[in-house]
Amino acid sequence: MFAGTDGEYDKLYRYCYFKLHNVQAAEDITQEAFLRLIENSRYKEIKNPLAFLYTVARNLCTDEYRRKKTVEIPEDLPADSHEDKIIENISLQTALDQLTDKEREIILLRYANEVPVEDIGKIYGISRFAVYREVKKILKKLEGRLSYE
Amino acid sequence: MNKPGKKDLQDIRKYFEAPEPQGKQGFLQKVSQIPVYAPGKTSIAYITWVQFSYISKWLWVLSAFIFVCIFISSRYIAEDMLWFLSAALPFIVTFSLSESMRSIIYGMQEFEMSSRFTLKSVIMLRVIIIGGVNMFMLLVTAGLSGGGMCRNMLYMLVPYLSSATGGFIILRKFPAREGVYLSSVFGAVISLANLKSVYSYSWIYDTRYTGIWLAAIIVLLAAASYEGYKMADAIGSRA
Repeated sequence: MFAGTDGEYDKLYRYCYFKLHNVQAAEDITQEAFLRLIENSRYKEIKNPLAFLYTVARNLCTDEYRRKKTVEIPEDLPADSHEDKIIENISLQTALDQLTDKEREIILLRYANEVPVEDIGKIYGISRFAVYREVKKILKKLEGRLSYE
Repeated sequence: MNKPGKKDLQDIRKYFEAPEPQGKQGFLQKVSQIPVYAPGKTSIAYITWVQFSYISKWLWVLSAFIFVCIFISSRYIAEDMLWFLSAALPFIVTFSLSESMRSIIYGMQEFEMSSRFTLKSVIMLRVIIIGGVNMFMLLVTAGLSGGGMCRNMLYMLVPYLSSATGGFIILRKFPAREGVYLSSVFGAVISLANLKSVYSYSWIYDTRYTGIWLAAIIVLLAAASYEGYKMADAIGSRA
């Protein structure tokens, strides 16, 4: 498929889990995104497979979220999912909790999944500079929260 | 926090930790058995040649005819004739634009889009090919004619590029078929304006104003390139 599929699977799954908080749905969407990448690679040249994967996963998560929104409660809510984790830096966790979903998503992509800035730009349809500005703004916000605590 | 430190990064990763995926190994194993039919690389030269072969031969015949007439008239016949022929240049633009829009006029855009390249790329490529060949013909004609012909080329490029810029804007704003009709009308207006200026405002062709003509060409060339790109982009997303 492309180099590092094994590692990217985990990262994409983490991204989907962050969006849906549902193990099964996150894994289904991760696999669907990879299958679509394989399918599309058959007839066209995909210049940036990483951005393709995240864009497909993001859209599928949005569809899934819309579909399930009114039907059922997610199997594990964000607050519960973090309860049983041993988090050494409570203040950073609190600061991250206070960010908006989109800001957390950018931090996840940039620092937890180490997605290059250019790819993040492609996922959101914005320029590299806009991503830099956004990341800087979020880090400043985090710093503000940390110093406040 | 300018950049998270090692410890911060660990904490961030821990914060976003997800439960272990269940079907990862099985999925990766299955996926590795799927044969990959990756398309071969296609060179720009090959795509350009393919698009070149799709462009109607009549367009080249007509363009060549006009340029040969310009050359002959500038060399052997009265110079007045040259202005009539230069007035014909906007019509080359009109034919070129309708040629670029052929796939949309005949409802072929879906077919073009189902190929490996987007409609935007195909239209851009056609505009570049046709515009490039016309410019090349114009330069060759100027080179062969020599002398004052080079300056005359400046005067000819202005109506040519004005028609192209206007045509691109019209095609972007109006549906394909209507856009081609309107750009033909626009080309005709530019052509008539060109003829009118030759007889009524001949002072603008004085050598003192050569710099202004050159500046106008640079501006129009930039405008035509920009509008050409925007037109292809708009048509690509409209289809």
